[in-house]
Amino acid sequence: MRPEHWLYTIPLRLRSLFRWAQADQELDEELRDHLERKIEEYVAQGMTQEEAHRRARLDLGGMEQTKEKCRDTRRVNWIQDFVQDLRFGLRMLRKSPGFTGVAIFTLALGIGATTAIFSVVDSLLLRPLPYRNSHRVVRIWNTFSPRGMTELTASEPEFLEYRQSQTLAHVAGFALGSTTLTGRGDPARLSVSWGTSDFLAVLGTQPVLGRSFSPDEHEPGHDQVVIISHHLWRDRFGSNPAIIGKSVILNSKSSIVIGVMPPSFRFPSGDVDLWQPLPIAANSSNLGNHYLDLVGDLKPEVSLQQSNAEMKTILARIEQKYPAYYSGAVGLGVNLVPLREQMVGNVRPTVLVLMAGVGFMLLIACTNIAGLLLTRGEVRKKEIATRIAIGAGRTRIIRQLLAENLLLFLAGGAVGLVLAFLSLKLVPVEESLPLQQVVGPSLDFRVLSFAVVTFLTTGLLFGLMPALKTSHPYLNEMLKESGRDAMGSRHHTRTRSLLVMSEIAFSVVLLAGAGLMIASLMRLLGVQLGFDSANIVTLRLSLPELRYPNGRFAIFYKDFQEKVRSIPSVQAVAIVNQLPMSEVLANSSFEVEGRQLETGTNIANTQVISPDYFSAVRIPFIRGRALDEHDLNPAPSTVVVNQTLARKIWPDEDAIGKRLRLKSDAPWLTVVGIVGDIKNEGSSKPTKPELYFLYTEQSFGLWADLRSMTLVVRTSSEPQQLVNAIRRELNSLDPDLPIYKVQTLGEIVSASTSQTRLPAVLLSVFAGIALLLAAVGVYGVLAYTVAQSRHEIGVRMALGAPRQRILRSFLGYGIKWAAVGGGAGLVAAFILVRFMRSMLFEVGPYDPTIFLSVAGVLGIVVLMACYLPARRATHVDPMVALRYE
Amino acid sequence: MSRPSDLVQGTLDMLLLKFLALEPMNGFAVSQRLKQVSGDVLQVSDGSLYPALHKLEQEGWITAEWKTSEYGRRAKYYSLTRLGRRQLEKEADNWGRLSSAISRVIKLKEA
Repeated sequence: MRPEHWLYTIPLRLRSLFRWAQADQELDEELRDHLERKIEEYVAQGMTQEEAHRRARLDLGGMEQTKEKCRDTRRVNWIQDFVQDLRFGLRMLRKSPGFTGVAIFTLALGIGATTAIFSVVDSLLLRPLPYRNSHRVVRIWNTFSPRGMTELTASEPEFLEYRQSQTLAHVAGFALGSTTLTGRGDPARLSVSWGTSDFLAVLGTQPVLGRSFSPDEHEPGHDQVVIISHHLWRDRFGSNPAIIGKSVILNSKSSIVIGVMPPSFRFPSGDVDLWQPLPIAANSSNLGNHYLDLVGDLKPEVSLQQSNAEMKTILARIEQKYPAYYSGAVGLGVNLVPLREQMVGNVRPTVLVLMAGVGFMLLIACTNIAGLLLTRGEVRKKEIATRIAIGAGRTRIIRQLLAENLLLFLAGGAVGLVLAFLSLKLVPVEESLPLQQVVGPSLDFRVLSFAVVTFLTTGLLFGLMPALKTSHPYLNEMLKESGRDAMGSRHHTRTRSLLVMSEIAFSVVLLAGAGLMIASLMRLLGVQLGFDSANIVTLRLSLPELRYPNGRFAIFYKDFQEKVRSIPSVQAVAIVNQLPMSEVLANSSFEVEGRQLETGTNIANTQVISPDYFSAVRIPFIRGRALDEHDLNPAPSTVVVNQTLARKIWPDEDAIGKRLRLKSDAPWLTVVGIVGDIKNEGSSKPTKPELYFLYTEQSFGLWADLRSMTLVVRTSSEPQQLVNAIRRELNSLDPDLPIYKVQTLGEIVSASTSQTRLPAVLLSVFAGIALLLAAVGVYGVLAYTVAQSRHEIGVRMALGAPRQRILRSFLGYGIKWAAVGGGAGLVAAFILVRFMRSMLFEVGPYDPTIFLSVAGVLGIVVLMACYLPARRATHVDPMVALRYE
Repeated sequence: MSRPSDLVQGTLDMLLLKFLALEPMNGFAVSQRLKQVSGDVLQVSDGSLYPALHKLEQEGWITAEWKTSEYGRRAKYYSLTRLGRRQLEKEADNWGRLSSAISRVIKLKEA
């Protein structure tokens, strides 16, 4: 419109809005004046006063209706109406606190849980990663199809070739490790990421404070600089900007702090404390050490496929360049994986299934509310009919009911947000989801908008339907009735039956999902681990190379174990380089004396242990004996194998006494014992062949960092007390050594099932709430139907119908609902559960036992919910019911 | 009964604007004038008249003022605004073109 027009109209609108009472007063006066004049005119024409009065009013077509039409011409009218509707709605809700409370709580559960899960979905799957190039960053993996390996790290020569890529703007290698910070308070074990020169450029992130690494700092000998993480800067250095340029002692060497990364920088993981340069000589030919994780960013116009193709040609070039090394590795490949896919790919089904589950729960909650609102509308039908009769239009009524219903959803949403906030604080999702790598879930603007959109859409959808039904014109007829209108209530009963059946159907879907997850979890927890995790405390130590050169560190660990063994509550002490179920175990190829093993069968997990390891974690001996320090000469001469390896390599022979070695230039090791299989890589993974070596400094062909070991202590005392005692013993040996990764073995075992436990627990909670809501819905509708049918029941009983018959006829409703709703739900569940296949463990998605149990549980719950109102029907006193007329 | 069914949509607005262009008057006077001028051809009920007037007011085409009338009675008098005059010209113009076009069509000889 033209501005000039606004000049006229804006004051008018403002006046209607803010001088509403005055405008209405004037409207009243105007019409009254008109009536008076009209009456005068009619009287002048010879009518009686009464007749004139009537005619004048008729001409005006109803005073109130005309007034309402005039009000409607004010464009801002709806605002007033809305405010009025809200006020009225509030009054109505306050009048029935029971209904309001139940409704708000139900909605709060639905909206709160949905919001909380959405915030997790958002941070894992939707929100851009906080790096400038995030959608173009890819991880680069070597693959080896003969052994099904898809994520192999690269060697330095491979990295140097991949770096020549024309399709990737940068390629960087990095390696994770840890280092000890000393000289500033207690010694601390920090997590480090060493990266090659383009590491930060790949992600496009600069430090918030200080500077990035300069090219010459990636030259060997110039790399004593460090960029620290925001959380380390905050916690350890008090957020003091003066830290830039200062030196810190890392692994007994001095390094200069040159920068602080922003808090959002969580690559490769959120728990990295430090980034340091990783110098790689341009002529490196170290082909054997595959220690580099590779990451790169696609050039803007390059697709993933194009780059993948180019990387394959580069790999072929590498293989040509070093034929001797690669000739044995037929089937080597390279694969690029987008960064987000890398981070969340394996949990995507879990997160989406949870989102779907919570969505179903929200639907049930909303359906329940819609049913409640319908019943309430029924109770208020007289009020509404009266309002229609005295001039309210249907749209006006609908608007008013909708405003009232929206108020409910708004309140539910607000309480739901509080619930969401609490549940994010209380539910340990970090344990099972890779939230360390992304910006963790929080109730920020995006999530709040989601909550608002959720409450508005659900409010409009599920609030509008009852409003439409309740304001239906046949209500006009109802005023004439005694309030018991057969036609109307039957009409409503059908709608309500539909609502109840959909609630039942949704809960069946949830029950099936929860049932499958619980069954998986039970099977997972029932897996025999092969060792005893109870009462075991573990902690890790790393000896800096400078202070513990070769010849010193094994002695230290021996002394340390002696000291710990002297603590009164300690029953057994051992050390191991890698704990079961905690991380990827190192593996190695080996040779067997007098035989040529096929490629693929000559690989075994390797663990380095002290002699007491098996007795400490209670791994049983099948045959033979434990490793013994007398076996050292000074290099190890013995090895213990697990049952799987013994069976695989010597199926028809006794493994004891056989000899094997790790490389052709390594000493032979005699098998002296066979131990039971344990679930070393996690409950759900099959046991692989395993070799156990005695801990020693002498090389026997195994590459392992023997300065970093985990102490395993079987104790009768409480873990924290024990750790304090161990720390005291350690201080007497070396006060500058931090202990880290303090965990009980029980915690480690339990964490290894958390990927299954989280969805199992959450889906069960959702399904439980859903079932409860559905039961309440069933109960409510049937109770209402019984109340409405009192008259009919009375008649039937007066005519001699037995109570049993009445009871059965009402239970029949429940059976029908359960059958139709449950059937539809089972079909839907059948279609949906296949998306859960990857989350299940030893349970098929179509497990008949689970589907049958779901049907059984549902049937019982629905019948129980029906029984109470149905029984009430049989207690109707015919005399009272008939007199009710 | 609320809709002036025999009035072309929008014509009532034009008529009201025209009356008020002649002189400011109150709602009752407008209803009288409608009847006088058009005889019984244009039947506009009082129930439609007032919402129509209020609509014109909200559009900014007419403005209202409370005045004391000749018999000492307070009444709401409507008068045309500058915007309203322009609107009237526009609508009268449209009407002229529309009605002459229609009459040309009606006068076509049947073959």
